[in-house]
Amino acid sequence: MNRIWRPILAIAVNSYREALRNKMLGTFGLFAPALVGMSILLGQMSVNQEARVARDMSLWMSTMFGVAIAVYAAITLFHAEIERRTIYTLLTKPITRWQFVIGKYVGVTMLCVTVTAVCFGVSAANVAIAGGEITSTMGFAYVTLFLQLTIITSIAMLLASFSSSLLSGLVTAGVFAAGSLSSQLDVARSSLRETAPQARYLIDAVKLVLPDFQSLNLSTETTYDVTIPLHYIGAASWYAASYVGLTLIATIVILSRRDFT
Amino acid sequence: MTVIVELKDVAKSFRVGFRRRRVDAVRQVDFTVNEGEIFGVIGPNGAGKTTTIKMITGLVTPERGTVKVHGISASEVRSREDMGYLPENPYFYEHLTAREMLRFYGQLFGMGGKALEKRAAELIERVGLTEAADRPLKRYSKGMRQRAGIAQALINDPRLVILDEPQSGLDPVGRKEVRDLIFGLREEGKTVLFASHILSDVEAICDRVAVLHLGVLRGVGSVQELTSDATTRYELRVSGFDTKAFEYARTLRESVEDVLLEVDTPAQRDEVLKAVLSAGGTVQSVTPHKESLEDIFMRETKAVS
Repeated sequence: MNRIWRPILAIAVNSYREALRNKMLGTFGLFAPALVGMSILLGQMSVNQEARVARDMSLWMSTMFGVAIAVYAAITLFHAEIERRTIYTLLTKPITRWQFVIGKYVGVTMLCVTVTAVCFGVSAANVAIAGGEITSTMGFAYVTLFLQLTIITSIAMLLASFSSSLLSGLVTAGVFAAGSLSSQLDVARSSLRETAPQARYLIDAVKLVLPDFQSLNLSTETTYDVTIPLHYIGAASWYAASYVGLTLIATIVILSRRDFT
Repeated sequence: MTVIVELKDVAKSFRVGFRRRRVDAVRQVDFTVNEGEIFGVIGPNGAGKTTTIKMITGLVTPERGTVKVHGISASEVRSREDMGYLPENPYFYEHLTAREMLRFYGQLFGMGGKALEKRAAELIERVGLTEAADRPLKRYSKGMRQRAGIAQALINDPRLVILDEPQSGLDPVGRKEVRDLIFGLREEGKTVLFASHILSDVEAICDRVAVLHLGVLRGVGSVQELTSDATTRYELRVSGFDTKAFEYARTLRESVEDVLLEVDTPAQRDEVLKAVLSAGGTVQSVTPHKESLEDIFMRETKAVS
């Protein structure tokens, strides 16, 4: 077992440590003041709704910040191995390419756990300052935010395995935006039913491939404190795990066929 | 004699550029590396040295032929269990210290605990990085980085050590240190395969050499086998003699005290010596020169080009 898991753990810890030592989390210095400032500003514009605004604003900013960090970390930590050729010294050790991919993924996921936890802590403080209550729904919203980050990380790594850093980053951001607007696709499908019935096949295919980030976004539920059943979190976790699993398999297949020249 | 590395009829091409133009990096390479020997792969830039080494280390899959390490196909992970590798111009994780880096690479071999700590400390001392062991690699000089790279290649105490241009970019002291380290590895019974274009070092270090040019193996054998034993030219250091007397004698250097001449055959040598002595001049030295690896290298590359 040591021969399988120790290298994976070593790669994961090394990636996590690289992210920390490269001060990727230093951006929290911008995030916290920006979050509090925006909440105060918008809270003052909405009379007696300060706590609600603080909850909504916190989750939105946490999502933007978390996605930006996850995409940046996944691409730089993964692609840099190829660009800087550190991968030469890794893959010439007795490790398989799937161990390398899983190790890298676990390392970035560890970073996502840290990012989500810090975002939750800052957001909870922000809501408390605004006089609001830290509800279980708010906690679940950060669990599903973490699930979104795990999916976006796997997509960024898949793209980084065969394209440039810039292109991978842009496409991943596009996938996140499109996946967060899945209900708009349903609207488009209905409106095109009469004029272009064939378009529904295309829309169905896009919906099938795109991750459904909208279903994993609990911003409305958090703002209005709607109770979230546990089975929802279970289903969301299963969905994220399946999506991540398939994406990582594709990454491993691509990397296994690749020559490192 | 145990064969450690075996390449049979190996070829590899790549697609490059927008039009996916095919470039043959290696066209036909066959050689074996035996246990305990220092084996050099030489050739000019673009000869296919690095691609050949990458096929041995499993970074590149051959298009044709077979590559085996310790009798196992290089595409299998098992083939790398008893191998250490230093890439050309290595780049390591700059956020790590040398000690952390060795710990990390050791863990990739499934090593851990006190055994790994001990091995890392031994190697740090061996490559002379004790003082800088806990300094981040980003603050290392090129030579120190190269030594750290050699240490990582030895972390698993491998039987086969592959070094790609290990002396590239090093000053004469650094080159000597690497050369001594390679000799040390041979004394421990390890097999060393290394690629280089510093021919004097290859000639001094290697038991056997493979000469590559344009992806084709031009020759393989010991330096003595590749070079002929016959003397190819003579250098004569003389004084008190008119150097213009013989057209075939080339003047290599001329000073107030003496002249350094070069001739090709024993007959020319004797004729010049006789003339010098009869003119009342002095013969200070006569040096016969045999064919060097550089001569072979230049001859082979010119022939194909």
